[in-house]
Amino acid sequence: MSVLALDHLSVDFDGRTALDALSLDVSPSEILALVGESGSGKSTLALSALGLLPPGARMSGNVRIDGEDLAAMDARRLSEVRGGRVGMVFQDPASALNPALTIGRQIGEVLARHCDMDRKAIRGQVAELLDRVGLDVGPNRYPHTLSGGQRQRVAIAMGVAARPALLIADEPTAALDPIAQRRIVDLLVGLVRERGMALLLVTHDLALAGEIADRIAVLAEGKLVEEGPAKRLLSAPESTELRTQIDAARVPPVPWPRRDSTTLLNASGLSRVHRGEPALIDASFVIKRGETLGVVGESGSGKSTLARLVLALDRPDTGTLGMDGIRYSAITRRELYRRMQAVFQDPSTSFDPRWTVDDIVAEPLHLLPERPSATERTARVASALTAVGLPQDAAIRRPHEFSGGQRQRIAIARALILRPSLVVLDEALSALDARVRGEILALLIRLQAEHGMAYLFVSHDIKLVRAIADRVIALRNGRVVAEGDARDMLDAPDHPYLAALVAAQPRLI
Amino acid sequence: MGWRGTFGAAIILTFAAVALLSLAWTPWDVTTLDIAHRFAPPSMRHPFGTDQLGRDLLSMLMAGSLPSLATAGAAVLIGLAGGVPLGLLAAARPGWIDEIIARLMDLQFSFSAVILALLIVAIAGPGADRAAIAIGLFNLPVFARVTRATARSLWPRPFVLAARLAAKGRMRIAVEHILPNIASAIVVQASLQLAMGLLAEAGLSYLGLGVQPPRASWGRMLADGQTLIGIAPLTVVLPGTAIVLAALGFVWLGDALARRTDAS
Repeated sequence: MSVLALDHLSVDFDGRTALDALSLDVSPSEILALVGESGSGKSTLALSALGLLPPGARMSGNVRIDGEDLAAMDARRLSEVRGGRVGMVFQDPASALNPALTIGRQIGEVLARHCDMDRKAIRGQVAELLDRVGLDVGPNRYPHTLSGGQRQRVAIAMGVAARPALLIADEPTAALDPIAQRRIVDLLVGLVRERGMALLLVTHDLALAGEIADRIAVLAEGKLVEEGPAKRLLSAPESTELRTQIDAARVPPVPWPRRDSTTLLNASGLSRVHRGEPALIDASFVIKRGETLGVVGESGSGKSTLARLVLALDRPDTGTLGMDGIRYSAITRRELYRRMQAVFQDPSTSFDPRWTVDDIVAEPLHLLPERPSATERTARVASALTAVGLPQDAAIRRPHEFSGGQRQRIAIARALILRPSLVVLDEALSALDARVRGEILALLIRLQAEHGMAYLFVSHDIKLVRAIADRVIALRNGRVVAEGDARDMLDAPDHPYLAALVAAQPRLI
Repeated sequence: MGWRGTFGAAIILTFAAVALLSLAWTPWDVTTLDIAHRFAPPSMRHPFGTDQLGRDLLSMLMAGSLPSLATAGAAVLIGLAGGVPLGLLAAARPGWIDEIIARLMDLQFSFSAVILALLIVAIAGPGADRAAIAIGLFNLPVFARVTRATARSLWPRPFVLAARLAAKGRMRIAVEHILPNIASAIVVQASLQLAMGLLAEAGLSYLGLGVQPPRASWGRMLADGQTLIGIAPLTVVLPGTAIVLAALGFVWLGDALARRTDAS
């Protein structure tokens, strides 16, 4: 019997269909990866399997856990099943844990509720679980004292504590940096195999799915478009949906001959202490005209601090920055920002929700010494929108009317309207789906070829950096630990940290 | 908006209409005394009866609504005019400017509103306008705090960073980007402060620090009627009910506004 059986499951929210007559089984001790772009219904499926759909959702069809109909369970039985028969691990470990309780107490709570153990047995079991998930911290620690990866380990310990038959993990590694991701994936697979659990892994990462899953189910717009053994699906995809996703995941490296080698930005000895902790220590690097410098590292390695310092949104404690050979301290903000703009990570918060696209894209025109005339302004906005492939009528609309990828195009149009020499891309592709990410990456590369600006490309995604960057610096604990040509360094890393970062990325076959 | 919001809006609109009407017309003149008909029970001539001086209670209630609502409204305007710019400035200038503003607001909060009002009245004498100033001074740090807290949460947003990358000044960003996006929170707070101001006005008038006779106000009516509660309960119950209803109306309206902005 399957541990989880969905039979013609449909879910809609206020008339918007999230799942459409979807049938799917999970067999005991198999790993099933559920892949699809955001909005495809992956998370809705995971929530309905737990009976956790938000109020307002209408469900039809049928969910069975070990053959028992979820709809027929009362509240008490449901809470026995949740955590007992079905464990769960969510994307964001920071919000999955109660900040006011120690981790030992939270893991113990699961055992107390589902396993009928006395306090002493619970204490022993908690210690064993902490040890098993690879945490060498005591049970009396509070969640905020742990790193993201450690917190996700605690969440996993809670998920598997009652030895459920099925573990549902919804993007368990999406909030983590590559090295922590790899370790969490290894831990999950190890636990699942060792305990004979089934794992339903919800992920947008096709490479990860291919690497660990027995079976893959592909979702698009609430429908199951393809399903089968992982190896076969990835080597011979049948649906166009899966084929485009596979193509998008294989980011093609674009060779791009550099014409210029004069220094554009010069950073020397940058240090910055943030909340008493050194965030960046003695970092020196240069960006040449027209080149792309990639910045890689784990989360907390100082990437964002570095981007903020380069953008002069924050001041270094020591060290200097110079643009075109002029120190930041000797140049006005207006002059600096005419030469340098940025695209940020989250396209949903990058724009004032009350402004039209026209006003948003035109905002940097404020940097011009004289206010442009209305006709000139319109012409500039129009040409910026055209350059990023947006229709002209986009100007009168508001940002919330656009998809994530289109919004990132708006952000790029805003950054480019004054043709700066340097654009800082701070995780600018990280919030996008694989297919859209490929499109925006191609756009960035094309714009660079046309206009010759330099990029500072900050990302935790090695594949993307490999695809766009000419040179790379690697940050660890605030220090630049490696620097060099992107191809050489990422294809054959000779620094152990860089090798770990590269090895941590799942590869598509 | 939900039945509470609709109800709240209906109450406020009714009271506002009555207050405006009272400027032009009340069934009886509230400054004319008619001792012969004092403590009259409700009748066709006097729907709510009369008070200890023979004044028509319905007319008193109508005439009293304007000073009560106007005082609360003026106090909110004072609070908005002072508090919002201070809050915006504090959020825009983290560091010592923010610190000074925040500590001044704490200092202001440590005074009870009534003591502050007593102080002002002691210096300037009693009156509705001075009551409005006293309540307004109490409102000021409330608005400053709400503005500062909501504005601070917006400053790290990428769209504000983008405005900084356009080399716009901090106060300009505060007015262009921050204020429109926190306006809803301020409006909600304003509706709550209106309710608070109504109660405060009643309290000050009750203590004799607000509206002065012969003008009527709800708080004044309460103060005059308190010793008569055994003889003519309506003299106290009516203004009390009016105060509670109006305050409730503002609170319900504020809640509904808050829920709407949360949803969007």
